[in-house]
Amino acid sequence: MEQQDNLITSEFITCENCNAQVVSTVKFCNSCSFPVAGSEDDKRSFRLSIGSKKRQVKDAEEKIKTCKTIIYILAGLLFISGLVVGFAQDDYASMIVNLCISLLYLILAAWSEKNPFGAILTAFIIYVTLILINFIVEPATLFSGLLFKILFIGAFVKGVRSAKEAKDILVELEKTKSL
Amino acid sequence: MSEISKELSCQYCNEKIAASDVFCGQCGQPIDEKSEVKEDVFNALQPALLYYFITFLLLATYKLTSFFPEGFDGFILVSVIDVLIVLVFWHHNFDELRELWSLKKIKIGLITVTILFAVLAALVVSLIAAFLNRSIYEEVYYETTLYEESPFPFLVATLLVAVQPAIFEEVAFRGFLFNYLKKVTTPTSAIYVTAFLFGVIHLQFISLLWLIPMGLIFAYSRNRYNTLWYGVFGHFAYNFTITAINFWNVG
Ligand SMILES: [Zn+2]
Repeated sequence: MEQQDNLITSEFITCENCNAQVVSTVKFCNSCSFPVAGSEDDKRSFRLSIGSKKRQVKDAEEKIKTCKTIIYILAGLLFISGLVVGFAQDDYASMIVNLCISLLYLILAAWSEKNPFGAILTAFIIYVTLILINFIVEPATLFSGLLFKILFIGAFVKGVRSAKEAKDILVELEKTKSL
Repeated sequence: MSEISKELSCQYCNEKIAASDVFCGQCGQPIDEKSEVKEDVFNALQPALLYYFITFLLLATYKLTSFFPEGFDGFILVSVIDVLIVLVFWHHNFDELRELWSLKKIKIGLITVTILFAVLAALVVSLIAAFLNRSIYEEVYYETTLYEESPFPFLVATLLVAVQPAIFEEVAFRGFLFNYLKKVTTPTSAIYVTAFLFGVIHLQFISLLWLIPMGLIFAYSRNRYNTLWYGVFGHFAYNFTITAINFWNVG
């Protein structure tokens, strides 16, 4: 009870980081965790950690962008190969299949703008699925363009992790009113 | 600033906190943070990926190679393995999945609408398939000849093509896969990802055009109403209608 009365009558200070009014007895801002009563060093390290989180988000967004590009490339490649098997080899069934998958990648690429995690994860699983289908039908296909396959899979794995990381850090930054 | 309520205290330093506080004023720790360890996404997704790829390899081997026996025997064998895989995961997630089976959540009106909609969708899809061409036609219809080897072809086909997927694909895609994904992402994202995977695992790439929307609707209703029942009834009605048209055409 004593403490309550004490707090109600106590003075307020303005947080340097988020401008919230906080009771002068607190060590950290109740709204953004800024060390209001801390030393200059404490305050600097708070700002540094926000800065490094922002950089992490930027790095993650780079990797997400790489994945988006890869998904567009895959959509394009399937579209072209669909037209080739269709019109050069008269294999219309394969053409429709290729165009359907191309469309699927295109949808995923568009969706990745809104939800990078879901879109990249789905594209990654579909990409591996298609490699496995080709492998089951014709094992030798595994080795064609093997380097690209490894590169793309590596990029997808990083992309999925980055998308998740970026989202988590953005939530944290939002919470510390640092966006 | 709100008054300090007696019940609230920081989980890290036990200092009293106000309801509006996002961070503790004394130790600077977040208030509502669940003290969860941040796990690697792929670690968290491991069971989901495991289920998907095992099932995919089974279905792909069956459809694309001659590894399994031909005809009815092969189909039964693959269906049994498929069901066994689902049962293992179902068993592992039994408690989480049990609440999704609760009969209390069923609304008769919605079930009726779901069934009508599924039957209608099946009719439309079969019309489109018949209209397009033979190669797509075969994707939509299941071979009736497969069941002629069994004593009651229509009954067996209904069990294998309508009842089995309605239960086991729903438990897998709208049940545990959905739950695994919800642990690492938003429900909306889980709806889309499970719908895409549901479409792709059928290995009928033209059918993606209606399999993905189907997956989206079932996953949406699972998330909205927290039950598997709408998916189960809708899935059954859809597959049963396709099977019935299929036998009708042959007979
Ligand atoms: Zn603040």
